[in-house]
Amino acid sequence: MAVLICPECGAENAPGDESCWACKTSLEGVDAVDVSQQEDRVEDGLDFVTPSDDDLPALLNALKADGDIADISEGGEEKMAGDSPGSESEKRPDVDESGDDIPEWLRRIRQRAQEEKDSVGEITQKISAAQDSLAEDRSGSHHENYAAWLESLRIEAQQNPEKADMEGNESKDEDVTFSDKKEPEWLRKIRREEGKTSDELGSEVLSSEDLKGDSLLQWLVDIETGKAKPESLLEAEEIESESIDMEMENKPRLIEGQDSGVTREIPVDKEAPQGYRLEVSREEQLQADQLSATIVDETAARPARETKIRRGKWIFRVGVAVVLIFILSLSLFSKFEFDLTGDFVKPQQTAIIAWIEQLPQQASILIVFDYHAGFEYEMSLKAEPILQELMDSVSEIFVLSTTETGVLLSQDLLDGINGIEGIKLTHMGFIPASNYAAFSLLADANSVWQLAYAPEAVETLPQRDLDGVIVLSDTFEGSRIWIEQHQSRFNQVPLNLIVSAQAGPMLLPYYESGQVNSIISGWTDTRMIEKGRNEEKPIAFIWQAYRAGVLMMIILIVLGLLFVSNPIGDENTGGAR
Amino acid sequence: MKKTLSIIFAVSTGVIVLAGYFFKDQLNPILVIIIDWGVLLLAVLGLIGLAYLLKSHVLKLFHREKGAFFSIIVLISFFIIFITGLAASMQNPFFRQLILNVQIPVEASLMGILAVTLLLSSFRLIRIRGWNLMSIGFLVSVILSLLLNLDYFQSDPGTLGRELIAFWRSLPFVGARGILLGMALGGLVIGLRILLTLDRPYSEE
Repeated sequence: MAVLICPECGAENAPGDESCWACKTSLEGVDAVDVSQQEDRVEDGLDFVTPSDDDLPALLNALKADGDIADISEGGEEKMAGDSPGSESEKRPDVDESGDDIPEWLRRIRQRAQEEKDSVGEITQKISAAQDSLAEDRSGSHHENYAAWLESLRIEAQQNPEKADMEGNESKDEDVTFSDKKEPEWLRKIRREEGKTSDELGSEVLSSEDLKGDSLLQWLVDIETGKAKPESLLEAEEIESESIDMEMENKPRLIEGQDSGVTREIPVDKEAPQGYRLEVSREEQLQADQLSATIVDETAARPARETKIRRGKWIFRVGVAVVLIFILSLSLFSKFEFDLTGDFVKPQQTAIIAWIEQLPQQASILIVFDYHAGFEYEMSLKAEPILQELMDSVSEIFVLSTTETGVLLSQDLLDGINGIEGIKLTHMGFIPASNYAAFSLLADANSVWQLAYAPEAVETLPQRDLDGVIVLSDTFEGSRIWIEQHQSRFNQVPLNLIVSAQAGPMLLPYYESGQVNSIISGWTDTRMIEKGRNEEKPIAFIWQAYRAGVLMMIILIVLGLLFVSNPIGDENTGGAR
Repeated sequence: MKKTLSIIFAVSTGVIVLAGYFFKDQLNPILVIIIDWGVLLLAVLGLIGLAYLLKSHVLKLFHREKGAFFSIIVLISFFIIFITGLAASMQNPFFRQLILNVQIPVEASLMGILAVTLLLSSFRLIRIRGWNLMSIGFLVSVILSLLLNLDYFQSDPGTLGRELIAFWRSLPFVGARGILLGMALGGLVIGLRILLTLDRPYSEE
């Protein structure tokens, strides 16, 4: 049916009316609208509402935007009693509801509305039904608890079975009957949109008895106002809170008091939960096995790594060794001597010769053996000509050893000296530390405090002043100790050093400073003395072999630097080329 | 208490030994006792080391560990020398030759290996450091010192060559003197720190 909708008040007017019958607004230019199609479109619109738009809070918002719900909440039941879509004018303060000032049209509408349920539009009916339902809930009627009300109906039916039978088969399902009779049309549509049948809804309502009596509509309003939350959110929050509780189960929890704001610790039973078992995944098990294998492998016995030497390298090394041995042997046994020219005897070498020549008759000297067996050949060759010179003027020799093999080395050396039999030889034994020996000897330890258990060295100290001290040492440190102690306590007695080649350079400053009388170091110095004394000793040939060996070393160093010494980062191209 | 006693004993000993250089006649008796104690302690230390060496080799032999064969050689050698030393004196030529004929070649061989090791170290110096001013200077110094020590370079007195040779010969002594001065100053400072208990090498701290 085509009607003219008033643009001012929305009232429906018959086609052809020039003005609205309700507000007298001109209807010129207003097109006729087919109400039946419009209703269909409304229904279609509800049918095609997307799930996201089909939320009840949005619908309630729309209602509130229209002012209906707000009016309900503000106006109370009085407004609700006479509500109708066309009763807009009734809300105006100038309208008296007593009835005298009510216009005729309004009275007719109200009368018609009371007599005919369909006298108003369907949308208006829906809104009215919702308003009625909400008003009933807000007013605290006996239907406040929807579930409780259903339960009361059920109880009532049980108490009056006859009445229930009279209702016949129509009341087989009480909830459905109730919903069909009492539920508004809009609610049924919403339920249809959600795909829930009345049975399901009824069961949900029944199952939600523990919701403390909140009705569905009240719940919807609470959702809109934020007092309640959708079920999905509640479930999500419950799951989250449960997981947090499980995490905090074995930890001391700190709860902030709501009232006092005091933080207190809740005692938690720290005992391990019974019945727990370790669950290990396959990957974790593999990693654990690998770790165990690594630990066991660390202590496992392995064959020694064999050094692989390339064939070319091995031949090269053997060749170098053969050449070295040949040259040294040739220089040693050829008896070729490089003739020295000029004044090659140095002052530190001539000083010991001068000291020997100036020694008084029946002189007594101290010889300290401070070298090891490895230097025996070098040291004996140096010391032998010096000791041989001493035999003419020395009557007493004190021998002290500060190395383990010093006693044997001293006896071996002195036994080879001609004329040693006529010399008083006193072996003072071995003192394990050079510094103790030097300090005790040079401290003039002959005193009444000397004890019976004192070492042999202390018991046999020289009983008179020495005419000189000779130190045979293979190291700089051993010689330095004797120099320091001698210079501090015994500096009137000349100190002579016969040392190995490695100790000589470091000891020369002591000679230059006058702390040492003479120094003979290495093969060269020994050969110089021999040359100066015009003696032909085997040392000349040994010296030649020594020079040839050192020369070969120099050549090898130069060749090695030129051909072998590649940077370490270039190992692949290195080696002998 | 233990800590205080060790400090008192160490400092007093050091002060007495130091004072002995200045008051020789007065402190000589005490110095002799201190020296005797030190020598005896060193001898006991040698005995302890000897016993530990024997124990380790005996255990290795009984446990049949790797290298037990060499432990057998060590133990046999030790007991032969020990018994021979008890039977014969140090002046016995047989005992002397028994030891020296083993000790001298062994130690001389070690010295020969040391020479070869030093030779190869000169190669490795360039391999690690590369050709730079320090490595080149070091190797040139080594070669020059060896050559000059062999007296292949000779010259008549008063000539420029003689002065140059003398200059090159004196360079190592210059370095040695600097090292000795540093050692003397370091020893002096360390001795003073110990006497003032700033350093306590005798303590467990």
